[in-house]
Amino acid sequence: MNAVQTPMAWTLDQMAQFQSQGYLILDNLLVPDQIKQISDRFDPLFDTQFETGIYPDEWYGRPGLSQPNATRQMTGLWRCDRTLASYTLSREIARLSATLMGWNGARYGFDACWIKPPDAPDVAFHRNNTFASSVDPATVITCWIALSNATTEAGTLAIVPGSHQWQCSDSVRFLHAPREDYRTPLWQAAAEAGIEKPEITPIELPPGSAIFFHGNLWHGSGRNQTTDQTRRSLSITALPLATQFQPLGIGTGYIFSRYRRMGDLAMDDSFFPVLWQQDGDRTPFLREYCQDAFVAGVET
Amino acid sequence: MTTKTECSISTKQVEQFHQDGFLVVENLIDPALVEGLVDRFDPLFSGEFETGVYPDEWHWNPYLGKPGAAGQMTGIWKCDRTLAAVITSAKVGAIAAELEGWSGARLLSDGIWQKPHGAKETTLHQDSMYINYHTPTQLVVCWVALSNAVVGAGTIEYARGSHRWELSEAVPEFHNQNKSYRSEMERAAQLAGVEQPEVVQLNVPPGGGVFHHGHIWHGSGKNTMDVVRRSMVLAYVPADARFKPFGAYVPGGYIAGKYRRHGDDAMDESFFPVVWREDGYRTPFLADYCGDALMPSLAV
Repeated sequence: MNAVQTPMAWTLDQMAQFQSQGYLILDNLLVPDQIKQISDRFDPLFDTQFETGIYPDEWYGRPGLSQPNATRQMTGLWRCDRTLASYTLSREIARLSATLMGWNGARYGFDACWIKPPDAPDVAFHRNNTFASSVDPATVITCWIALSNATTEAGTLAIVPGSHQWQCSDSVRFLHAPREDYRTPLWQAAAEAGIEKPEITPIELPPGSAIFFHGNLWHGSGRNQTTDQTRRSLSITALPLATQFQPLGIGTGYIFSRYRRMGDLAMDDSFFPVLWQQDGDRTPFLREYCQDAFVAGVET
Repeated sequence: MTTKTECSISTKQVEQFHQDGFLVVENLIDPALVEGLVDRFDPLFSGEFETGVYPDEWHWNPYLGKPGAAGQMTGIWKCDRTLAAVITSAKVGAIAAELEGWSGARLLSDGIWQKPHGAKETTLHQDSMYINYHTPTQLVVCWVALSNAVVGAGTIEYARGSHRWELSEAVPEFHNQNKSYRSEMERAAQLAGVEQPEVVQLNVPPGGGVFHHGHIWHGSGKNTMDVVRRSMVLAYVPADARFKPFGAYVPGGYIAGKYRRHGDDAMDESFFPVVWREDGYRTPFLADYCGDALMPSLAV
């Protein structure tokens, strides 16, 4: 069932592309059985059936309280469902992420599913690093995996290559169904960075393929214009191993600061486990908590 | 930092709480203060969090939400200091402790609810179904009306005396059930040998509170009136409460279980502050963070 059997190494060309463009596509990260295994967990979650009995960190699109075409997004999946945790806490994805960024290790930052049914609204352009301003360094990398055919019509992820290098600002905002044009924050940032015409690139991927992108890369997504295709994706965002909280009062806390212990800048391993490090182990409780989707059997 | 408080609960009231499973306390919060709390609702549900920290639960927002659906948020004290100053007040915690004979009260969780005209019923449930991972296992909840809570406008209702029934399996979805919102309670009544449970719908003016036992069945009917019913919920456990011993995670941990550190059964005061203790202790950071809106002059 495992697609990634042995640790792969990025080529120099891939590393160079990531550095200059801010993203890299990896084909066939998951095989069909794995895609099904992940996707099958989503309906129970949105039906309030959490395998561990623990609720997620963020939940948009709750049935009954939301419009039928609302995007369904859930963050903090690893605590709710150990099948999903076996992917979002996997050593391999963390290692691939960290090595692209040149880190010697990676911690869990956040994980999320994004399900856009037909007519699901736009998602405003933003940078993921903006949501990490309460930690130091405010730097993340995201692995975004298509679980369905991610097409332009179905509102796939759209990015602006190279925009991770722009000198510009961004602020935390509500991302779903913005009342203004969903590209407005991007236009403002581009103007600030002196970019005349930012090139928005839809990332079309078959199910199972992934894009790794830098936390400063501008991205968003358009409306799902189809009448019969639900776009599904899974995103896994990592932090550098040595990340700490900023002192109180700096940055926007988002989900991170909920887990801040008073008088302590450390990012506790219980909440932000170490998923991979070059010269050391993963956080020990992971072994007890869930399997690793890319390692056969229970992790040892 | 210590805070002294005088409780105003009589022996008769304590007896009534144990007999009925709930107790109405009028004028718990000054109406002028209530206005300031209500003013925070719209920004919060729109995603404007005063501290920048996102809530633990956020069901309904004006972008994706179904018009007329109920809204619910949990973990507000970390998002907004105006609300936190009431949510973490010593006064309400002290009453909860006195009702159960505890030496102190620890805030377990909080919530705000809004039910506009047409909002559906909230299925009757027992709070202890979701909060059953700590020891001592007791739980007292205070429900505070922030608008005129009247029959017909979705006010809170209780099955009198049902706190003496066995704790039932968790009701999986209390926002959006397709069956009668009282059916689960009626089934539990039958199992308890109660032929016709007495359901009490309360009229509570703004600022009035109802303390209830963690095991009592409660919920609310549909809001059929042209008003928005708003309320706040504060849940307390004994100050010396700890997590029960668990392995890699807290099964059925709902929200609080996320905040247990691996290998440590303590309920960390960073996440579960002690709001009142009879020896005068109060979690120190609260004074700087938000103060105490219900007894500012008594903080010494």
